[in-house]
Amino acid sequence: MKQYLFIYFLLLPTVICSQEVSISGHVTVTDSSSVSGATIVIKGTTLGTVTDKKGFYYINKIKPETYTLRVSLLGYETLERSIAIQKGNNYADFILRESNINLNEVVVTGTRSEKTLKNVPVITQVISARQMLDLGITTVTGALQNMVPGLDVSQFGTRTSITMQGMDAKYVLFLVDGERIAGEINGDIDYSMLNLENIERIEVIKGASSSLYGSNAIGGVINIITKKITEPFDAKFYSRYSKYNELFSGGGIGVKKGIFGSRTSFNYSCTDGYDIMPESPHDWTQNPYSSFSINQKFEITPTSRLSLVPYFGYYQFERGNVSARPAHDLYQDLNAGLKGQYYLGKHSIDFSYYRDRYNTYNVLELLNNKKDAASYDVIQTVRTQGNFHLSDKNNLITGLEYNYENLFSTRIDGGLKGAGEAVFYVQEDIRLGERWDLIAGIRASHHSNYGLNAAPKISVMFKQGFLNFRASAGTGFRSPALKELYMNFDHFGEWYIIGNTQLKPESSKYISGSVEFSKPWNNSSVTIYRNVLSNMITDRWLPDSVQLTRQYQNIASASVYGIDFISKQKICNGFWLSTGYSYVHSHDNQTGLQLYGTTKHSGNIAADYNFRKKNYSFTAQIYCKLTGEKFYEITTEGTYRDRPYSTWRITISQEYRWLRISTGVDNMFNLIIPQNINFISPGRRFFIGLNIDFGKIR
Amino acid sequence: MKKIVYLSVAVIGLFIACKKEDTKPAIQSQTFEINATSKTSWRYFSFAQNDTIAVTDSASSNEWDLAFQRNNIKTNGGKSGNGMGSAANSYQKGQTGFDALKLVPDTSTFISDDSVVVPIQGSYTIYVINPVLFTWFTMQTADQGTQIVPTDNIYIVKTGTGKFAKVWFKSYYNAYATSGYVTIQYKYQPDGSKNLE
Repeated sequence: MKQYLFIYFLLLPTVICSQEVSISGHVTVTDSSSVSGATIVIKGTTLGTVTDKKGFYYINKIKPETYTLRVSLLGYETLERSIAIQKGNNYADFILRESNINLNEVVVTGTRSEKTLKNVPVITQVISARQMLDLGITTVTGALQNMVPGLDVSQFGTRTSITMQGMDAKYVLFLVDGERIAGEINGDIDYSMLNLENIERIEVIKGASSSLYGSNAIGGVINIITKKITEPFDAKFYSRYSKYNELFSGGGIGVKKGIFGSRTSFNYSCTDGYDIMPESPHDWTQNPYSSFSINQKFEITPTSRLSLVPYFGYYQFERGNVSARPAHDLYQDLNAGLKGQYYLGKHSIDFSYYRDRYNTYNVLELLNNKKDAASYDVIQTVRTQGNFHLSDKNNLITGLEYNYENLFSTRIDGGLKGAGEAVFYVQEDIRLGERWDLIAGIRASHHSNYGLNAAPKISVMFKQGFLNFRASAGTGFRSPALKELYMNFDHFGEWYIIGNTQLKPESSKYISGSVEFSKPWNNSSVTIYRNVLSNMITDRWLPDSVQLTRQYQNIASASVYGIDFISKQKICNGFWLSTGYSYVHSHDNQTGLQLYGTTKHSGNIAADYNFRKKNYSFTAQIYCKLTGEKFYEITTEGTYRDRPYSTWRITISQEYRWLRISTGVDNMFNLIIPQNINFISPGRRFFIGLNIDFGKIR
Repeated sequence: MKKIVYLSVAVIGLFIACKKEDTKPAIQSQTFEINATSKTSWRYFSFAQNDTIAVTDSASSNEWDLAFQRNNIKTNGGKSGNGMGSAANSYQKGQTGFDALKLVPDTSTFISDDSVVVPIQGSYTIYVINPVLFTWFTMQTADQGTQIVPTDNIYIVKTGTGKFAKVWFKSYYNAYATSGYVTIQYKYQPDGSKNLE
């Protein structure tokens, strides 16, 4: 007997030691039905999973400690709960509430770290992938134009250009997962490069509240967050077809098993194009084109502390030729990077390396479609950031970054030029009491051309019941572009444009205040802001030059102030009304008038109806975008203005199990304005779209 | 019997011989690309030599027929030179028009070089060029600036020595899509007649 007892006690420690530490549970919604595909993540580790068909989840190999578990699913309010995980099996059940306004949604752009939407001191607008899906939106510019008041998209022949709150694209910083994009021309990147299938959500922050990101964040930052790999298997396909053989389609396949995850995403789009100005038959309103992109991401989590994400992508765009030149454009982009995150208890270290190369070619049709290189732009970034959780009320972020850009173009002096920037940034996030949150940060940089620059910013938030008050102040800057420094462009001997290596960065001072109201049936915010820009770079005629020459100089200045209003109001069950309005008052100190190409008033109204049953969901939306009078300039021949207009769209979308079909009419009232570069619609167009989620086919 | 055979053979032979004499050899259509990229100097072209030629004194030489500078074209006459050059519009277009124009119409109005108002950069400047040939292109906006689009009109050019040629200005870009290379397709009648077949 004693022998057996002895052996039993001997074996007991091994039994205890080898006992798995795990957590499992059931996720349901308020009507008790199970939820599959909900993501559960243990914050501070790389551990996480997704609920199965019956709504159950299981995570193991956890070190016993107290953690915060976060449960999220599109269309539902994210839940966070602190759980002390002990040896053995742990259980935690969650009940999710449907929500059209998910204030627990996590955003990253405002503070370069994760914060929930309701707690972030920098007012952030989020456009989720679901919203885009419901509305049959197929491009990033389409999503932004529809949902961000004060943001306008125009098309100059072949180039798509955006303006935000009266400011040019060069004052808006576009990022993908916090990284810049190569191939910028006058501030606009090639927006069709942004693979929609890959997008989880888009975060929009206005003003210089995001100056930690550096140059161009004067008017705002638009950060596109790509999908994470959470499900064991995910395969999706979408397609949308409209008049002029316009096709947008794409898909993605993801797998996750153990420490390894992979996701491949691809997009294809093409159109025959159209022309609403037949007076210029060789210059179409919308040129024909075909384009595709492919993005690959791996997520490797060798331990619960370390996560490595290598990724790369390829994009190609080829334009059809309608011009008199025997050549057409071809664009290519190749990007690759590695992101890593290492958790050290409550702290973590991020590191990332990223390289993006954008090439433009002339395809010479008379020489058997030979590709003639016209320009290329390469950007590289290496960064390391430490996130220190000093206490529950105190978080410190500090980072080092180095950016380098290389530009080759026949229009710049010597053909190839480069510039580098070394950056240090630090940000302190303090919670004072239960209601106050203060974030202060500074970004200091040294640029190879103009030396030192510092951009501080401060944001404060005060919560009072269902009201959030926020205020932000900061300075922003825009480094002179390589083209502005080194341009040497000869326009057929008639005139020249030259660069200026003495250029200083443009600078801005930004201040804003906002009030946000939130209840389950209404979320609204009003923001007032003022942005003063100085040392603006523009090209001016040189008075004493031998031949007509324009040179870039820091001589312009402008001020912009305005009000933004966004609201979502529940009318009755399933029926919501969204409104947005933006008033922009701009003043160009050179001309004494409004900034060229700005609209004072713009807004949008949408009425959504959503009905959901067990396997079926129905969404209908009527949407209207209102654009006020757009001012250009006053010349001796008169004042150039674009008259105000409104455009309407209706979308009906139905989802059954794994299949979603969307139909709709774009530009319902068949509005055509040939001279307006902001409104290039060819009239009323029907569209039909298809989304398939293969993971739900069982 | 044999006489009839010999007579018929002789008659047939006569017909064949006559037919051979009736057919004149058609002029060969030529294509040439002129490098007119210079913004300051003119490139001189001669139909007879089927090539660009060097000209020391353009005002007195009658060897050149057309002069090119970017999209501007001179003929050897009027204010541009001492030759007999001028041009007329045939009002035909493209390859079909080029082939259909077999004779210089008697109703053609030939105009020699003069001062022409040319719009440029929102203002204008005055060039001495051929007013008829000025219509060989239109300027259209494109995002590379402006593009030169040929109108495909078929013109009748009187050369420096008074002979005729039909000319089609086909393109302003070379195979590398660089502007300033004017491609012309033409038929030059060296015998001085109005036959342009």
